[in-house]
Amino acid sequence: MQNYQVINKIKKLESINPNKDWVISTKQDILGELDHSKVSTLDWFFIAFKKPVFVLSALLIVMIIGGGFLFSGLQGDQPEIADNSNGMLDSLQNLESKLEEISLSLDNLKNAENQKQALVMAGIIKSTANGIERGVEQIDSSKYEKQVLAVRNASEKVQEEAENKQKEMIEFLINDLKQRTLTGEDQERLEKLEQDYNNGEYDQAMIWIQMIGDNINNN
Amino acid sequence: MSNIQKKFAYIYDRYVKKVYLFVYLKVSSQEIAEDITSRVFTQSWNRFKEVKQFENPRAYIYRVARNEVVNYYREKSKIKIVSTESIEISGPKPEIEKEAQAKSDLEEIKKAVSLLKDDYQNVVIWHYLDNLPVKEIAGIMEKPEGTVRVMLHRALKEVKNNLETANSN
Repeated sequence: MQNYQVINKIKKLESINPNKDWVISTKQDILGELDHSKVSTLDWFFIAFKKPVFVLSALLIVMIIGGGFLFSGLQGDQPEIADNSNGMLDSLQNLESKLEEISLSLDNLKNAENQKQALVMAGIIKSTANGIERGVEQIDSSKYEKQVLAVRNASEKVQEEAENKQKEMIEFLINDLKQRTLTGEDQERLEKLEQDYNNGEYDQAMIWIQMIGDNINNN
Repeated sequence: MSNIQKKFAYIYDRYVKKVYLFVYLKVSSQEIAEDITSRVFTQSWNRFKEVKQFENPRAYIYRVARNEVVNYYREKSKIKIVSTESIEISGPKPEIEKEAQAKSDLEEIKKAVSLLKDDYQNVVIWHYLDNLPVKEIAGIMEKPEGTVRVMLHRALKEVKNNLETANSN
């Protein structure tokens, strides 16, 4: 049994989910009131900066990224596809080409008027490219060495570019927030945000941005 | 809902499934996993009300979860003997239970992971199911990254051996 087969088996455990009613009732018990809605990271961006053009551009990028998810299906059928070398080669080449498209879309993202929306997209792109890279690690690289390497390199390139984009945009947001009158609590969060940004913890920085954004929208 | 409740609600929504899975794989019972997961989030919420924020919510919650699982076994004076006969798949998704083959596959891997020692289980769950990078796992476990890499390698090898042994019987 190959390592990728063992990992695929382990990943089957992801299908174990808690009971939905229990999830809701426990949340209600803990927080003391019913809340069916999730606090979305996107809320602040969409509420405060809603413009149709950004929704369209976001959809376009998601469609491009969608190509990457072809890989999820491919992973599930791996044992069968492994016997079909042409199928696997085509899939990997297709994946590489999609990653190049994503890389190009990142360049366009730099010009997006709404940097807040673009920040969310950069995070999604980075995470998708990371997922693809993890996925190809599970393929028997001795059979498709060249293609696996090409996809891995393309994924790494996209992740690096997306992270640079995230960095630029978080910096933009920090400067934007510094211009605003913030509550004492938000001021502290802004300091934490800067700290996380300086430490390269961009996902954590996004949480601070979302929290401050929630407050701005509520006041 | 107050601001602090909103913040914790966000943390709850983000991590409840992952913590449940982490606990469930260690206790092999839906009811007990629900009970322990509830305690993990209740305890985290009480702490959150005091400190107003967590530096690293995921690391904090997983530490609480680990402690709660240890407490569970300690309180019940249970020795964690895991035999292939003692584990039942009681996953709450009815569709899984309906499909015998899927259940059998799931049971097979669940047994293989359950047979690992505690630290190996943790690294496997966090890395392969929660997609945590080695660096973050090292932070949660307070161990060097190199040690975590070695643990991952050995854990994967053990899962593989467990699967092969099960298949050969």
